[in-house]
Amino acid sequence: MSHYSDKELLDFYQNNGTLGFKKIVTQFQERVYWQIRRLTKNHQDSEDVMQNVFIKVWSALPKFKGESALYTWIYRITFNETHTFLTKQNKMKSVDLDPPIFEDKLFVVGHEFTGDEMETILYNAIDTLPEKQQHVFRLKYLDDLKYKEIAQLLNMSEGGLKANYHHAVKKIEEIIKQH
Amino acid sequence: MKEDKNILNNLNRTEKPAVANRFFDSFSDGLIKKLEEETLLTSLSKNTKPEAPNDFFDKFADEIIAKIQSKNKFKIIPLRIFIAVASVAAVFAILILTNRDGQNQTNAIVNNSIVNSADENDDYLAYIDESILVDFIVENDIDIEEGNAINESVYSELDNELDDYYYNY
Repeated sequence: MSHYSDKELLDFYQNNGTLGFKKIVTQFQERVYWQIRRLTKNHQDSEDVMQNVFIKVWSALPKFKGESALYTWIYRITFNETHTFLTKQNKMKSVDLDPPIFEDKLFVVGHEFTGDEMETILYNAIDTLPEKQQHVFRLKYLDDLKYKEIAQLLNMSEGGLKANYHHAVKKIEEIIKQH
Repeated sequence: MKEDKNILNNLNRTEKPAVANRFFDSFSDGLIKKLEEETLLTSLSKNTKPEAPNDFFDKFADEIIAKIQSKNKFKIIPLRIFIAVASVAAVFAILILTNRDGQNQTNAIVNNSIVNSADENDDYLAYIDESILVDFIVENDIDIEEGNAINESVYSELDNELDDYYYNY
């Protein structure tokens, strides 16, 4: 799949709204999907939320000022939309939910954790990071992207990313060790 | 003062401390290795990532565009027309009332309107750009028909969601 810079995507959009929007969706849909699915834990809800996300992106694109990277902007919409959905749902669903990120029986500094426990600790720890470190950490650790891919998404240098990831890992590990 | 000019140059300096041989040649490699070495986090075993259905990402962009186009076709245009028509009608109504009952009554109506709107509407809504509010109503499928006031449940919905929506801009 071709990767376009933010400027190229916005130029496409300026020249042809629908075609440009399609390229934006195609470029970011997988990142958005997995970001949602980590929280909804099933495909059907993820698809519904992702549709809402991109409908809002479509509505708001004419007002996008380019003050942040496109991905960062779409990420914020995705975050809000996913949390609104989860708050509204607040239910026990009968569908099969995805397993936690981690396997069970994790031993950290002498304590045993289940996968669910560690996932909760991890998400709470991520929330304490500055926004940029959160993005880098999620994309690197949770999505397993390469630094080069993250650099393209966030319009950052690979060196800057590595430093941000390193700081994020240190902070998160400190928090995990405190449990 | 002239004599002081060369004080720094005249001070005897010691030799620069030595750095290990080829230290700078390998520094960046060592740093990168350290950044990438196994940490507590990388030692935690992850479950296999769940899968998305086949072709899901191939079709999604087309599906969302079809959905947006159908929304544009059936919802946005009528609502905008409705708002324009309602605004014009309101202006005419005020003009007619002004002519019929004189200035005093008009003042009373205007005062009442201000009080009513303060009572009935969330203060917050007054600061929202109208186009944003219309988009919000359209995107959330909130049903507004001519002559019907927005009911309590809609305001409750707005309270819950409008913050997030507003700050996206």
